[in-house]
Amino acid sequence: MRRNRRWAVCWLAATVTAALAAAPGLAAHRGPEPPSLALTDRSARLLGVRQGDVIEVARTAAGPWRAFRVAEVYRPAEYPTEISRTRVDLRLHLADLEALDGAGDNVDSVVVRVRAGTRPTDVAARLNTLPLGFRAYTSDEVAAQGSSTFEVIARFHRAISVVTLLASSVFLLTIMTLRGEEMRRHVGVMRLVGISRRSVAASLLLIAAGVALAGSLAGVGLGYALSAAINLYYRRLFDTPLVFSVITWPVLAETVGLSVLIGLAAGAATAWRLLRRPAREQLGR
Amino acid sequence: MTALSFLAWRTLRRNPVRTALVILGLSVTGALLLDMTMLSGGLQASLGQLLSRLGFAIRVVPKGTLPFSGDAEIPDGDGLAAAIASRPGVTAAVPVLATNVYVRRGRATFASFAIGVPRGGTGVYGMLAGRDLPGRAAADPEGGGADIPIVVNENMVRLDGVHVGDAVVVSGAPSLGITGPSGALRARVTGVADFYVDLATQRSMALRTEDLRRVRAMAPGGASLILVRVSDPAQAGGIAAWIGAQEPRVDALTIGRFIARAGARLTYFNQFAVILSTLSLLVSFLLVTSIVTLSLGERLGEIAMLRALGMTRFRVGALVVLEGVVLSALSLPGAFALGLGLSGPLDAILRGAPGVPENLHFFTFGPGAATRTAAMLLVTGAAGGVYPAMVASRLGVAPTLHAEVQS
Repeated sequence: MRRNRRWAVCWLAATVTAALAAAPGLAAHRGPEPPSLALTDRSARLLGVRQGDVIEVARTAAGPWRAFRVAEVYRPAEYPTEISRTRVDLRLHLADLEALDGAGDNVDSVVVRVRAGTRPTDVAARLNTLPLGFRAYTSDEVAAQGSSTFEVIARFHRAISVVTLLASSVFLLTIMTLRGEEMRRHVGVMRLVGISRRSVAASLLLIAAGVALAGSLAGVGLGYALSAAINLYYRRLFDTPLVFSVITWPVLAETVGLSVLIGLAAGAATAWRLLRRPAREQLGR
Repeated sequence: MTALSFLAWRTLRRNPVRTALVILGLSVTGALLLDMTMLSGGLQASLGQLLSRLGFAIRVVPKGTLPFSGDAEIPDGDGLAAAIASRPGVTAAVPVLATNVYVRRGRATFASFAIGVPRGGTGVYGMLAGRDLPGRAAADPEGGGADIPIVVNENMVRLDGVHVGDAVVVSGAPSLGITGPSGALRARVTGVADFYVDLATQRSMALRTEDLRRVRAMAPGGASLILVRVSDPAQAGGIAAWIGAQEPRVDALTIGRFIARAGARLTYFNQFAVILSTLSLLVSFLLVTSIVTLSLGERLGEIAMLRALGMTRFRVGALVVLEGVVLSALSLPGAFALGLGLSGPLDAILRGAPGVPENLHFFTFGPGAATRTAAMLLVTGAAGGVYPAMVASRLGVAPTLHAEVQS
């Protein structure tokens, strides 16, 4: 149902650009002072216009065209949901927009400010009892709907991270198995000179945790480099100050903690495989 | 080659636990690689399949847009459709008008996406039950008497209890008191149809274009989209070029161009797939390199013996590279099984995003994805064996055998 909304700007990518392509007439606009509009800085760059210029706007490519003066070029608050939009975005006074559309008294949404102490949910519930064919949402509900795409993406990322966690676990287990095989004779000697199974197992756990910790620290470094590259690339691509990748302390703690836990598990598996054999067998006798 | 294969196989069988772990690791990374290959271009492939199924080779849209992506209209779309239909090789050109309307049934009012078509049987939607729209206008063009016929989608049946034969009111405004210049017409549901690209809870309906224009008080002639069916798909490019030359305010999109334009809006998934594919290949490479290198360290004496028996440096290197390739090849069944098993839940997660039509999929498996994944894994296995192969081929025979004897 998004088609209904923002109808005034949907066609602009094609039509306003087309109008500006025939620009000589625009610069030489004469007659009564045209109504004003506001353009985002990105749209102004896209169209090659500045504050004070006159552009022509129409409901459809067939016209009729109406002249508007660019009264303001502004940098809008950036919303992650809108960064991939490449079309022209402009703001008109409601009366001008209605006149352009020819549809009369018609709006896409009405923003309601409630008095202090009034619960927005109560107001929304009361409004929704009216049989007028609209639906009232609180700001929290709108925010939840607006962020649902990002929640889906976050769920997807979590699922992918589970797969990568599985891959790294197998990798570590394989490396520790090889390390254990290398240490077989060494462990046999340790056992024969009287070092307890517990101490041998602890040393293996320590090695595995150390490998995992070193790996995770290297991974954190790589993560920071990737995060910086992602931010650099997408900020340029979308021409936005938004931050796309953030590494927080909880994320770091979770990553390193999980790595060490996996390392300990891999070390425990290796220790179990090594220590279940008698010491003589480990020495090849 | 047979001797090398025999030796490589023997080496891998010598330590089954280690080999099994490597294969398991490569299977997991291979599964991730397969999924990312399926994701990269999966949505475009799914879209291509859907578009091909509909049978329209060309979509004419207002310049710079995609079908139904805005309220932009093709001026004199009816006239342009008639001109296109008269071209040789064109079997049909259907002008479609699309907008939003409100449907009132009893005390309930709900918004619906509405498409206007000249008549029934155009193939824009597929009938599931009841009758399609009639071919000619109703007896009373003013709408004062006969109900206008409409066809609704299954969501309207499921969510609003609208059935074939029901009477509803179709309006351009949500309330009778706020109609403005829009009209409100009584309508009768004649059938239920599949509208192909509906969202999960989107209500859709079809009615005749002239009825939709009356409901929304729209001027005659305009169209949101023109669907063109051609007798020979190979001619689609030429016909699209002709349309573009006739009317510069439109884009005539063949299925390929449509997918390319839609794909430009899906850069996130493509880039995400490229990054994760690269990472999974890197992990596979490291896994093969480290395991083959470590296993080589355990059998330096054996390698030196083979060299002493006359095996050339090149063949020794080839033997080690072959071990990497065999490890990758053995991981393929697991990678495919795990990858296909994972793609379903991952697809379900992404399809939960708002605005994703029900018939589209993010992960699409096909021969291309399978071949690319297998080739990349095998090449990575070979690349992973290069470093240990260099170590093995440069091995000094006498010092290695001497060291072996002493140890």
